[in-house]
Amino acid sequence: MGEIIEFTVNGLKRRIEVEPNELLINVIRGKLGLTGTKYGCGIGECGSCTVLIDGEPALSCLTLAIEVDGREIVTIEGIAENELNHIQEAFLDQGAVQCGFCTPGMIIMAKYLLNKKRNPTEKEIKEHIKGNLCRCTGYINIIKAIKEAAEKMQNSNVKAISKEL
Amino acid sequence: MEKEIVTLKEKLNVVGKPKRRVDAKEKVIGKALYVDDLRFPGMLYGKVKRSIYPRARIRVIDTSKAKALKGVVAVLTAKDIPGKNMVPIIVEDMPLLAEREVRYIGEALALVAASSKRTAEEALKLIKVDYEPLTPVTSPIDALKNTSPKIYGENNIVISYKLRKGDVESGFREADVIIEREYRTGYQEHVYLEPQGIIAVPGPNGSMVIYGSLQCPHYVQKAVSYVTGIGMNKVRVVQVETGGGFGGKEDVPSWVAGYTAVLAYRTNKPVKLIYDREEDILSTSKRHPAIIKYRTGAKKTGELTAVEVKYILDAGAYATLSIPVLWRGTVHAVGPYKCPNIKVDSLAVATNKVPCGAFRGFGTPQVIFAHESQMDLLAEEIGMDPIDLRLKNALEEGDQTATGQVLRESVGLKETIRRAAELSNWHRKRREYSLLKGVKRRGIGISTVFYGVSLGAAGKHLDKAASLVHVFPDGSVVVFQSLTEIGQGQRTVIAQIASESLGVKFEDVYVQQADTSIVPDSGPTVASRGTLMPGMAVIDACKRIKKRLAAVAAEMLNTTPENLVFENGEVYNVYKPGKGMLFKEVVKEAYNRRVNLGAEGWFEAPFTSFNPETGQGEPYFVYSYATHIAEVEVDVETGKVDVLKVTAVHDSGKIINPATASGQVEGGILQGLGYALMEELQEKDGYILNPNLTDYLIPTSMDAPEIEVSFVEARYSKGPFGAKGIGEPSIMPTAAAILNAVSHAIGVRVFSLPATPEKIYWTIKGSGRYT
Amino acid sequence: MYINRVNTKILPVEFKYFAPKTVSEAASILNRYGEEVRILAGGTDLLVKVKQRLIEPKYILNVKGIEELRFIEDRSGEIGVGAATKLSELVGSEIIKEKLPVLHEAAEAVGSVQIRNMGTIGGNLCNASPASDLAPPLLVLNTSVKAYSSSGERVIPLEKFFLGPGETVLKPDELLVEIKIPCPPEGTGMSFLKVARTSMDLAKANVAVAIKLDGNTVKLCRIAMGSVAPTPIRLFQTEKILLGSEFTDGKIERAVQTASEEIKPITDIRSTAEYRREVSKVLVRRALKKAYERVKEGEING
Repeated sequence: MGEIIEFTVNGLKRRIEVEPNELLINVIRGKLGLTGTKYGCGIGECGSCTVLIDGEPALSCLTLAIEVDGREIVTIEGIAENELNHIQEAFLDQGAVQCGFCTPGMIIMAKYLLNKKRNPTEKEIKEHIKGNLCRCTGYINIIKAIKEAAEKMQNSNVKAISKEL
Repeated sequence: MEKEIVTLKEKLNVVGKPKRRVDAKEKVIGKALYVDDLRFPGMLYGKVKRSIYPRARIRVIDTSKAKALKGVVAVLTAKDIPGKNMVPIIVEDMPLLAEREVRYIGEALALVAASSKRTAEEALKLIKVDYEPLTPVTSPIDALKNTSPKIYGENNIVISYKLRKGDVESGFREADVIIEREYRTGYQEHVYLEPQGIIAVPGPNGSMVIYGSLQCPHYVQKAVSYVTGIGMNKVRVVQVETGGGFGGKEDVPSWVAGYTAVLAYRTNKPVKLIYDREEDILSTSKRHPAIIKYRTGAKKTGELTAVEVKYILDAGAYATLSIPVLWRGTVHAVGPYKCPNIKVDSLAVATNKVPCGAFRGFGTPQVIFAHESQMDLLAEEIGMDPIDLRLKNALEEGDQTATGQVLRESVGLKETIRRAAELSNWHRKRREYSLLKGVKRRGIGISTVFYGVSLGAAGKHLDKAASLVHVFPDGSVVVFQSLTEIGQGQRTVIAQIASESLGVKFEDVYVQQADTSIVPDSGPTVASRGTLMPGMAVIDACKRIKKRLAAVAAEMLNTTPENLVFENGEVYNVYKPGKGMLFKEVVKEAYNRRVNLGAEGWFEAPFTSFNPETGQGEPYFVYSYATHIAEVEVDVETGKVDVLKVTAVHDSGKIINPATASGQVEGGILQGLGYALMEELQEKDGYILNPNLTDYLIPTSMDAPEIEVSFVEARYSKGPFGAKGIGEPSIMPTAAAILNAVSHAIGVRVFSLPATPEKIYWTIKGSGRYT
Repeated sequence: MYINRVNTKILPVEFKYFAPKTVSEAASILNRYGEEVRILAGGTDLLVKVKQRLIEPKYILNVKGIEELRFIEDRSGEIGVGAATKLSELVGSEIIKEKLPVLHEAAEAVGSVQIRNMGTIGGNLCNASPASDLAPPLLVLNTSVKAYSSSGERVIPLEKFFLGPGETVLKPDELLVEIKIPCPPEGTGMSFLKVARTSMDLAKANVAVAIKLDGNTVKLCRIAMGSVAPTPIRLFQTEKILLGSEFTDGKIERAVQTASEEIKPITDIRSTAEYRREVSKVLVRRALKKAYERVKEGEING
């Protein structure tokens, strides 16, 4: 009793048969082989499975696959294009990565935040990632990395604008 | 000769620098492969059927219905285990699968392999177990009573230790002040973000390859060999990217791999077994709950005269790692202080609950909470500043520890205390916070610790490390070693050590993940030994290669090997800098001359000793030291605590990578904060009531305080570039510092962990201070 | 029992899935399958329960795709919110921020960014958790909700909506479609406070207060709490203490005492009943004072 759904993942159109009781994470990891999205708790508490659905962060462990018919999904594999983006660079710079299991979810959240807000305060960053647990870093360097990414993005925007001028 | 080469070059190019982690790029793009990310052709999915009783006789396990389910390939019980039904840890007491009796809720009874995870899950429901429930023993105090059912040996005691120094009775007679209190601490669950997982792949000639999320590949190799009967020579364990460990992947993967390997053996197919979070919390090891009775005697002037400790750990149903955990706790029970008269008695007691095991700190955070609370109570009693009291008693070079060990070098303890006091503005804040009135009170508290690096006398047979280094004709280098990267930055630090030792560029070194088929058994990745032990083994291998290359380079540069400097990818005569050659040119020439460009390195831990009758000896070859100072704000009407700042000063010897070292400290502090204030595994009659992340709370980003980290680098002559260890000292002082700060803020003391808002609220209320 | 229960990437229950585009389609599905349908209006709670086999629905009706259920409308004197409006939309709404700041605060206190982006106001209310962060402010705002079924629609005061944990007055064929929130009278001061173990946690207790004064006399007083009874509740007895009298510390203390007697907290994994009772006093006291301050600020600014 599977159904065919069509959706976009990291810019590619996909057509896939899903069961109604199948969760999105099963499709992303199992059927599409995009294993960057992690399964840490299965009940929406850890944030490791966060992906963007139509640009908004959602927990793929609590989203039915069938719900994403016609929608657009971005996973961690879709964040970097040819080179690392500012957020990923900043995570490397600031030592924001330890075991790496929370990292994809954190980067997705950072991307969403910086799309919305150019210059978030430390408090806003903390609020924003509070649904993403990390057991290694104490969050300190993750928060620093998101700040650094925001600054870099602003600088590169300024550069891009001044080039145009 | 190499010694001279080293002394010629004092400047460090790579060691001591905050190099970017070698494994981070794969992790930020989502390409790092963890065990659940791997798939093999024909792979089956495993699940474990678990006991629902804390103690029961097993009458029958009926697997017929489960076997009949479409897609199920195997349902196995104890009798299907091809090798021994035993998980080899320290003593052999724990079966892989319970056969006649279950001893805790969550104990494994049967295994399923099926074509899909979903089918395996369904099959679990179809396995019927007929139990005869028995009265469980769920508290260590009950277990010690004569009337208690005997659930472990003759007296329910898994292990006991004693430590005797001087004469405590006369020490207490000399004391002007005696402080006597009882402390209790609860479970702490690791919550590594990645749950346990293993894949077992049967290979040709009866061999088996294990891929897994694990800390100790050689432990897993032994366990798999045990339960399958396959010779160790045909069991290969490959550690894949591991999503956190903290001790939780020290011994547990031995039985997770045991289940998986038995399924793979019987089905002759690759089998993947990944734990669910709830399953992980209820069936895997945790930090031991503890009861600590502590009596401290001191002079009015602050000198300790006697310390007496009774330390009881709730071990759970099997010994697993309780033996070394209790040993470490016993050796560290007095803290980093001089005291002439000491008596410590410790016990690990069996209960019908999940076995406790290794968790960062390994039996020390419990006793630290006690000894650091005692120090503050003592300071208060004699009217002395807590810093001054600690400085008065703190160990220095030449002093004797509780076990009678004379500390000969690398003792940065006092400097950690002084610097932490200075960086945190201790004296000013201690004074100012004391004057605050109103609903929000602030406090500042200190805790100071020492930590014996590596396995010590109790694990000396395992305390060795090997390495294998190859230099290739293009000048690049590969390093194999057998300790694991579990998030702490171990591969990066090893790459720095290799790069510095050979004088090649950091980028030209590649460190492989651990694989038991390549490097000799190097013991476990535990005990903060991941830098020191393999680091020394890598230096050893590099020296051998460098010596051979130096002979070639000396000829090429028309000098003698003593005059050569290998640095940053170049080789030059120290008297003619700027006129050298590239490292790879030397390598190429050596290659053409058929010089062996590979070498094995080896390191055995320095001397340790322990007398079981007296507890005296040199239990560890060197110690790390740390002081944390915490500042908190307490809402005295609700008991809620906000940790504002933690200042952490660590002496872990030479810091190889300040960025990864700070990362260890920051992460340790947040775990310590959770342990202090919120992490509470609730258990009733052997049932864990909150085996999920909804109700077992760990700190979030909102709980992260400001953290200031500083390093005192008291170098250790036998460590790589003077390094000791940092992983565990990171967490050890935090909880006690926070509790001391809370006590400073509210004027009353909480004697058990975690100090939840509710507990603090009732403590305040009971004190009558704010009515 | 949770042992041997699995946590899986495929729900352990097979069901038929509906994702209607209109309210009337949804109503006819409800009409046909009644009690066997579970409404998916977020999933952060429902799917966790299905995963754990606490519920085993035969049909799942996803209302998130019904555009007519997603709106926030300012209707002079009343704010109408569509039941499938996401919590993140509530948080981001300028209308809510300006007209119903207390609801903005409460919505912001729910879970994480991801949870707020998946959860909806209707889902939050129909879930009927005693710990709902939205219910207390909506209760003090005198909110009513509109239910729709094939046989018609009805408006229910929120006060009468909750029956017990997970239970509401909605009939199996009824769909919650709209939340109708009267704007509080000019000069009303409101506050929302919550005590939880961490910022991600469900409330151990929460409170919302609305007061309006004439001089220093309390002209309007509404207090509601969560996590202190089987449902979110209004504290009518407590309100009576303050209503019509001077807003003084003595009165506040009497109100606080009454509140602690009026609530019926229980002991669960998050807290003991005794602590809930104690902390409720603190919450009510602080919330009253905060609401009072806002009244005064309003007077100065207005």
